[in-house]
Amino acid sequence: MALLMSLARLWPATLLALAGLLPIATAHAADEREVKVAFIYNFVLFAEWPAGVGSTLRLCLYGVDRFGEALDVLQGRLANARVIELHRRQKGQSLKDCQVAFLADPLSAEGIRMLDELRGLPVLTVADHPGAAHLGVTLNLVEANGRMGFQVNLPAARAARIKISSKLLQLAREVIQ
Amino acid sequence: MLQAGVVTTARRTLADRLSKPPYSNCQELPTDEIKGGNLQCLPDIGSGASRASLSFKQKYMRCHTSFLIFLASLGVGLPAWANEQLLQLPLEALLDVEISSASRKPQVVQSVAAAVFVISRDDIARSGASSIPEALRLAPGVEVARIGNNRWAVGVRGFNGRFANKLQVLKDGRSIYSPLFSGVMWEAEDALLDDIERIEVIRGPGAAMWGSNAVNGVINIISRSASDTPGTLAVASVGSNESGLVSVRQAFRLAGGDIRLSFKGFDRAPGKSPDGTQGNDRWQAGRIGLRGDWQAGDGARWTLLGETHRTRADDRLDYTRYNVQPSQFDIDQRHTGTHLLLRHEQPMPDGGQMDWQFSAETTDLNLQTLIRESRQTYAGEFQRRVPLGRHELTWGASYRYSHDRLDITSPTIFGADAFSRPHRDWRNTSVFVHDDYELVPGKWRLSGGLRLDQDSWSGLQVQPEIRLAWTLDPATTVWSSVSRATRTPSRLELDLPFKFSETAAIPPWVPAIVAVRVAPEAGTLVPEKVTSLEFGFRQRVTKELSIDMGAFVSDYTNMVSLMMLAPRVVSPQLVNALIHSTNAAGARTHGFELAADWRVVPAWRLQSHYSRLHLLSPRLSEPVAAAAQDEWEGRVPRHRFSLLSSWTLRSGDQLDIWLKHTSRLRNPAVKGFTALDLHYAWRVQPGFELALVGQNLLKARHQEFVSDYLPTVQTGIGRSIALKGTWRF
Repeated sequence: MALLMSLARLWPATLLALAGLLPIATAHAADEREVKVAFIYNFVLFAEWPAGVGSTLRLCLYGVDRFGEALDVLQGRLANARVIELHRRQKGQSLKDCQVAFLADPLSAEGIRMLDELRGLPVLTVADHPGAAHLGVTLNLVEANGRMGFQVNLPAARAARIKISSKLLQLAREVIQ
Repeated sequence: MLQAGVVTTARRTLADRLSKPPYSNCQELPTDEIKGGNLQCLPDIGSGASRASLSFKQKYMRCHTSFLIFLASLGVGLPAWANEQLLQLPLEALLDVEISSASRKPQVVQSVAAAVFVISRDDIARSGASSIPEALRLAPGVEVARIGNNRWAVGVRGFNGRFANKLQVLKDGRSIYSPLFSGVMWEAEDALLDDIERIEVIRGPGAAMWGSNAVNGVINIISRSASDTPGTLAVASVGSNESGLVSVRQAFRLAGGDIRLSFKGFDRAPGKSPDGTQGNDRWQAGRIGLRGDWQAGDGARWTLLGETHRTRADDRLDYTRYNVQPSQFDIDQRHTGTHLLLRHEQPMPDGGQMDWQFSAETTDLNLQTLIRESRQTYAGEFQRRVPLGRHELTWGASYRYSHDRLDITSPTIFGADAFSRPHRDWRNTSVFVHDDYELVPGKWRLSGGLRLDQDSWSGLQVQPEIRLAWTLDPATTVWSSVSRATRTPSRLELDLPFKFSETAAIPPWVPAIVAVRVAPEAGTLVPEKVTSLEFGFRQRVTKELSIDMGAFVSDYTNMVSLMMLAPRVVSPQLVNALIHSTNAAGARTHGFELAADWRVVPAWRLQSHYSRLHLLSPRLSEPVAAAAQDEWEGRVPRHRFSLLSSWTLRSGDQLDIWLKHTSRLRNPAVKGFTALDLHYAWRVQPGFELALVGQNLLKARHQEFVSDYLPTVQTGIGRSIALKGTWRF
């Protein structure tokens, strides 16, 4: 207790000293975008594309960019010996050459049209919209109880001939058969 | 299949952790279909089929919204370090990254510089708790004592009581702290427990964020988004204590969003007094709740919340000690309340967020033959979060207006037939600012906050805090804080008149002494203050085991207590003892809390906590005040312990054993007690679950607390058993 009380007396001084002396750097608290980006990165790690897709992995963001710079850490990063290439695509542009397509708004008419267009192609569709997995998005980020999780649409993965690792299936909050 | 079994349980417990219905059976598929030992979840005899169809119904399942914020638009200067850290995390750990409301914004609990504990919906379900106060026993540092079948004392870090006045409680962002007596009437606060997403408990002063009266802690009860509760839910329960309970919930799609209606009604039988007579603590309530959630294309979210309830929570008071006739009488206590709240959350182009909310509430509390309060409250709140380089600024303002009417329905007790001020307005205007500042990326974070409350009853309150967190490695955080909070005097403390006299065998030649409380003059009763120093340590020791510790020293000044003035001789037969409220007392508390969460094996989880508390209040020489101080110290249990073992069987059934211990209270004396609860849930068939809940199984009857302020006749807390059926379709 005496220790605690002496700490109590010293605390403000310590705090000021720390505030003054510590090196200052550009930094920011981690936020939800970053958590989502980390999930997307893991999706790429734990998915396997059919043979003949090439040595780069095109990750395309379709529609409104809600990630901003948080997504940029993936640019040039290696995933299973392939280099991630970020593309931001506007509405109307094609996604057929992408390996991963993040749909900002899958529930819109445009989003559904895009899902239909990509059906059967080896493109891993990802979204963060409730209900998206049931629309045919292969991996969908969902948040509940203060934590981020994801759903897997297995038929969509099969149609795209993309193998989703057992690890992802085990950890998914929901697997749609 | 063995392998599949192991994976099944791993998945289930993970899903448990995430509070989502798990797939109950997984089988390995031929490797040629999906390479790499992939798993496919198939319906099993238990509940798989229903799950599959249920999950399909959750088509519009949407993220829970209340305190978690979707960040949208372009970020400003987001550096890579935080991201880099997250990218290095294994996927399992990523799933556990939690976001909390300690600083009114999403934050990972691991790095929060405050003593935060989150009770999840799943924890509540597995504990077998049937009311909010019972569920609060799951959190460390929270003292929950049941006074009777319909009454609780809930406090954090000391000064517990039926009208514990140092705890701020919010339900979906709406304060349920009553200005009448500075406390929460837990008997009138309830919910369909499946509608609750989680309960966040912040120990220690939270006033810089949450305003006055968050002296010892803040409890945030957060409901699930309507999008998360699709379809229909029906719950029916019969039991020896809770005679009957019915809950029904139905969700609809409406105008591009989701809306749900929930109904809950129950009847809890009165308990038995120690002398065997039936008590008067019957508890009945019916409530209809509403929640709607809409999401706009730009990420903006609208939430509409409403509830109306009628509650009956009767009481029996014993005034044998006082010169009141009759000495024992029953009180019919009735509550009615209705509120409506609208919230808007708007992600901003700068990467921040703007929120506002409005609420209106009307309540009527009628303690027949004692007092009646009707109150209307209107509140508006605005909050803006802006990232500015390595700072993150949150600021906001709120306004609360409350109008009441108080009637005295028992002139004998109060010695007056009306309040001198039967109507009174209360206005509270607040502004707050909070800055989160990254000193060293990923290592040191300093945050400071200040809140100014202008209160029409107590004037300006200045409530600052400063917090420092040091992340040693991604799994370990050490933090410390200094914070200050105030507790504003309640309406009753300011305006309640009363008189009573001791009757204990007064010889006729001694004049009768009648104690009369004199309401304080305007401005003489000031808010109580606390300054608290806290330290904490959090570590994820392994993937399966995490621990959380918090230690604190708190100094209280200006504490309100009653004091006797010089006797006033009215006549040779009558002497008045004038009593008034003063701010003369002070106190110091110190203690610590430990919490551990251990997944021994994937199917077996242990959650435990231990709290230790000391309270010292240097005695005032005046005997009435000293008696109150004796009680402050005497009502503190030194030790509290809880252990919840949750075991998920291969069949999907759940077996939970919950052991709780609270050490003795010295004044008024209550023996220490140990209680054991059991919860067993069968997945009988798809969409139907049957649960058997046994509470307080170790002893036929025990006592947890002696009512303060009102001399309620004690009823024992009895052993009870209940059978509960839950249908989902």
